[in-house]
Amino acid sequence: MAVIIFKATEKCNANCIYCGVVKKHQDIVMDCELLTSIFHKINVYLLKYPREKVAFTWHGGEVGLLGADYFNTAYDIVHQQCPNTWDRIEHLVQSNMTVLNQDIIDAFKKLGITQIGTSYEYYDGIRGLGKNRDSMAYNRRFFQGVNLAERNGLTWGFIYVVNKKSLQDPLKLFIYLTNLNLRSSPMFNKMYDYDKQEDSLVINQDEYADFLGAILPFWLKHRDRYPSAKPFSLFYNSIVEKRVQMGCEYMGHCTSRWVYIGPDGSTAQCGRAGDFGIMKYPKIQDATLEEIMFHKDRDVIDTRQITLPETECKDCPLWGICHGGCVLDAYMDKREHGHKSPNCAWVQKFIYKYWEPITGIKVEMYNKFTKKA
Amino acid sequence: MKNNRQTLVTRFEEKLIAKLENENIIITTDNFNFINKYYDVVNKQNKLNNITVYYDGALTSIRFLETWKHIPLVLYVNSIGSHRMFFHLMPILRQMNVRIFLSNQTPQNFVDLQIMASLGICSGIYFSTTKMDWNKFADLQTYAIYSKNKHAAVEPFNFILSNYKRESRLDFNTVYYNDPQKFLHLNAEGQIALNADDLKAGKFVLENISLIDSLPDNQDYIKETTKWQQHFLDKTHCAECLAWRICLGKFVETIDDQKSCANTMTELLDGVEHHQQRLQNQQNNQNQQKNRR
Repeated sequence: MAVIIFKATEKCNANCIYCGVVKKHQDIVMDCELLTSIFHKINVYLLKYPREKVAFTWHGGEVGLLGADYFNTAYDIVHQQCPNTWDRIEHLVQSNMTVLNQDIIDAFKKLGITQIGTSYEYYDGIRGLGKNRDSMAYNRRFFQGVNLAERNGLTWGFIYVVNKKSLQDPLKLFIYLTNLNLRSSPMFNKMYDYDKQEDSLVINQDEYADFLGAILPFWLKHRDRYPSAKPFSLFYNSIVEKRVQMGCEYMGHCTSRWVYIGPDGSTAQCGRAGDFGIMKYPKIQDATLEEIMFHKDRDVIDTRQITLPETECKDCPLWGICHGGCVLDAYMDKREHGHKSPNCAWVQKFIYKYWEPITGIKVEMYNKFTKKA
Repeated sequence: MKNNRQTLVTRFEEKLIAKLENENIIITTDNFNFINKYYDVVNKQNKLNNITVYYDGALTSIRFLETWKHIPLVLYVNSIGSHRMFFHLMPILRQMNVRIFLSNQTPQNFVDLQIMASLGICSGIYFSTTKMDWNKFADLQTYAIYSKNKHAAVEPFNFILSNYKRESRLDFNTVYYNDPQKFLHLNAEGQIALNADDLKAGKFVLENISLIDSLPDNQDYIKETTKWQQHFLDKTHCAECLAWRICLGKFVETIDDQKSCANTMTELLDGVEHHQQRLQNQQNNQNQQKNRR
């Protein structure tokens, strides 16, 4: 499945401290002509690859700012441009939930959207509206959006961005956040350091590992209660149940599967690459989707998967979990694609300091071509 | 009966009952004299769920009639009364379709609930005071969940055991009809309130039952059914409590330094999950045995 991280706008009504998109201050909204052209190109791509599907993720900025009319127009365009392939396009959406209304929800449903991905923050002053990051106003609107979505039969899942404040009491935070949405536990992601201006909240690799380690014993004891809490469930599935299903950053197979398309038609490897402004490919106006998905510059990702097990990740028993980590992180760290991600540090610490001693399960997921377990 | 509709809770008003049709109805009263009449009238064109009697006295001071045997009764009483009298009542109580609620006001009531349950009488605790004896509550809970001796259901533990799903919040106020998604409260004129307190305060959300389809969009209804979110906005202890999913902040006023409510309710949650796991294991074993055959 090809994953398109589609940002028709990067405008946002919120002003979250850890958001790379907000800092771009972009106000462009993709016009209908370009939107039409994109779905035309998706159609061509899907016709050429009849077994392929596209996960079309409406991302932002805040997608709700596009308004219901935009999504209704998109629906019409999809059916005009993709008469025989529209059913192989799965629409997904990421929203902060704070500007949703019934018309937008109706438009989402028309596109076949059944779940909304979102984020939530426990501590004040991190996610918020306006210059002062008014968290209470944000949270109140968030719950209004949640209520509206739930009344319409839509489910929601969320990401929590682990920051310095999260380290105060990881377990309390875990319980609060898992109580918030019993249907879908959050994904605990490490805060990214986009421009180092707000680095008082950025955590280092050790801190992230310690944060997860503080929760792990509790999660293991109650994993039936919190089956979807990530990354714990991902580690458990990968190591114990041998179903390796880590996030995209740790799978090493994003080469020709992801693409970011921005409001002006610019493209990049994925959403984060678009946010960072790296691993850019030709604008969608200037190339086919196939040319972008199989662009030669993407080869570095495949090459890295071959060279890392011979070099920096040689004989690493955690290879099968992290595959050298995300190429973007490696590039941001060393300005070269071929290295392992600096996130290797937290993965190692989490496994060796917490996972193995607590579970008694040794991780031996070597690269099968370079070393047998 | 009307599917997916709330059960209507009301005092007996013949004119009102006559206007209702195919509704599931609970009659509340403090008077034992007309129980048979209520049963007959309500069942003419509606279905009587039960008659709930709020009685300011002891169980043993109630004169149970043979003619009530087929009538579903729920009794809220202050206490059992004398044990000697209670045991005299047992033969007729055993023939009744009755559930008896005792208040949390006295420690003895917790013990008496256990006695009733062990004698096969369905029972339950109701919360008339915020001064809770958490040790007694925990004892009753342990008995209700873990006792291997055969006993009748004790509420709200039985409700929680039967309805808990890990992916959804469980509101045991349902046991006390205070859940507007399941129960609506009507006054004599048919005006609708969301719970017993609102009914008492004259706070109505709909003028009559014909407007019920508009309820999901009613702002007061939305506010009431989403009021749990305030705990998250305010970051109360309850939002950070392990037992949130089965308690929803009901004991917020009782929170003490030892967090007794959290400890007790968390034990309850563990017990419920253990119970469900045991049932699941039994089911799996039965399926395996079937497959082997």
